[in-house]
Amino acid sequence: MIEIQSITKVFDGPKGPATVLKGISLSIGRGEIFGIIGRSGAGKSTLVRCINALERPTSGRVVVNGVTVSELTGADLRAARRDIGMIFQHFNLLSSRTVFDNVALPLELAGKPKAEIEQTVLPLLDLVGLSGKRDQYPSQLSGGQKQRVGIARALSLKPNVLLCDEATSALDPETTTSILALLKDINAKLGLTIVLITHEMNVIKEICDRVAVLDHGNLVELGSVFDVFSDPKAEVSQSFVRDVLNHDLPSEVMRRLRPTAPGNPVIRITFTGPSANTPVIAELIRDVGVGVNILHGHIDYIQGQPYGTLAAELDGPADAIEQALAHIRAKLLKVEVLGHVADDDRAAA
Amino acid sequence: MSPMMIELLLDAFIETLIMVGVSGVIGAGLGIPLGVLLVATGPKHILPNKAVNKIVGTVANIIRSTPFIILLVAIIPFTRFVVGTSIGTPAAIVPLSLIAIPFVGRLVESSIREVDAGLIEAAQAMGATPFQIVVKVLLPEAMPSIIAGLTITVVSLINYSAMAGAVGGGGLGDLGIRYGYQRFQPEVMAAVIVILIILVQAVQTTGDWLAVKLNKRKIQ
Ligand SMILES: Nc1ncnc2c1ncn2[C@@H]1O[C@H](COP(=O)(O)OP(=O)(O)OP(=O)(O)O)[C@@H](O)[C@H]1O
Ligand SMILES: [Mg+2]
Repeated sequence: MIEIQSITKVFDGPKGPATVLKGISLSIGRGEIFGIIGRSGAGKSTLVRCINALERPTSGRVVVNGVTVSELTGADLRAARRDIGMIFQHFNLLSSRTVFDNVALPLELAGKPKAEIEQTVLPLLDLVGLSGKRDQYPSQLSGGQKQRVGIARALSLKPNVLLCDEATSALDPETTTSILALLKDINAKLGLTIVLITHEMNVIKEICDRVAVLDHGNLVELGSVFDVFSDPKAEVSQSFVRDVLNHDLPSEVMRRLRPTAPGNPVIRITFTGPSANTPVIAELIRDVGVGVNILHGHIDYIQGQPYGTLAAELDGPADAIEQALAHIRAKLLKVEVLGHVADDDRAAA
Repeated sequence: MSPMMIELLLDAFIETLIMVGVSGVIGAGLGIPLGVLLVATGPKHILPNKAVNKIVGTVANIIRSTPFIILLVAIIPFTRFVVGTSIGTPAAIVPLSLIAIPFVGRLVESSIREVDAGLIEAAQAMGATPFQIVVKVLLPEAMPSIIAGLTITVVSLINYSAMAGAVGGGGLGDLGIRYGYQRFQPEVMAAVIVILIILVQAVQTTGDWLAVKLNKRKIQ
């Protein structure tokens, strides 16, 4: 559907040329909701603007629907752009046009007859829940409603790709949720491929199938949202995940941790996917015979799959503890020993 | 005031309306495209063209920096070439139009520059041509501000038209000078001033009303 083939982008900045994209290759499948996340200035907008050729890569190519958009010019380029819808952080609606006329604009530009415009716009307003607002002006709408108009407008030429550049960044959390739900709905109903840029991991977590993490113009991680969340490899990804999944130990526990024995080990078990349903704690107590003192636990659902961590202190003789760790590993759970807590420390705390 | 005087005032009023009206229409008709050209050919805009931008901008500046009274006489050969005469109301219309074009052009340029760049980008993403961007996006979005600029232009033209007497163009300003000043009839001068005040007031009020009506950013 969308093939991004080793593209680079160099801008002439005030301090000489700056390489904003450093050789990025990605392929995005039909009907996928693909997220691109990165810190401010990572190059997300530049990358996504290469997809509809608002920006031309310095090298490499971008192929959308089998068309090399990065090499098109003139009428061919404009035709290709009509197959790619785009929505923006600040909506970019025409203040001089009503809701209806804003959604009609791409159709007018494409020279569609009036009757066809009406037949296309009205169902779209229905789809985004704005039928009652057709004659209002953007200044009379809330942010969420404006973005709905933006979405309807982007869909009016029946594109097969929708690009979203920070489409929810100007909205409050509740409105963000409703806009994301709408995008997901459109994706399901129309089979539209959605490429979504954000700097909020929550947005990715909520609707994306796969995610690419961009850092200083490099693609540092690419994978299913569940994989990236449950096991982020790159440092930026880890910090993004940490922002939304609160799996760190509370500081009181951290303070008491010693790197080595003596003292009981503190372990962290990570539950992912199907293994999350294993009654492992009960088994440790009942079958292995160690004491389990739970310190901290958290569970999240990503893409409908449970992902959780549990930190606990194990109490018992050394061989029982070894046996306990082996038991957990045998259940295909990830377990790490974070450190040890000494008895006297515990008393003091 | 004698009936003859009233008739003179009426004639002068009509001459002023003709001079301002015709030059205003020509000024808007050519000034708006000029303003669009000044923006669109600018760096990183929809039709970047350094040479055109530079030449057009410089010509506009030369016309705008020439004092009107000098322009009026300096272009007499051109005026004669265009309207076939160098005196009378038609002869005054030529220099008034000439000054109006870059005047409108610069005002329209700044109005269009105020349109959010995001709208141009959105239109490009929809597959709009540069011409469509101008007609469907830039001009409609800038319209309230353009109307405000045209109002300023018309008021300035009323002002400039007072100098049309230098080429026998007539009009209220000319009448005021000839009777009010040179023939010591202060009541004529007073009448001219009152009429001009009312005229400017009417233009400004209409312009303001239209600009507000077209501005959908703030809906009353
Ligand atoms: N037209 C341009 N000319 C020069 N530099 C540019 C241009 N567009 C972007 N840049 C630079 O490229 C870098 C990446 O910009 P980009 O907008 O792609 O980042 P981003 O990841 O979208 O950031 P944000 O989250 O702030 O939107 C930035 O350092 C920016 O200053
Ligand atoms: Mg951006």
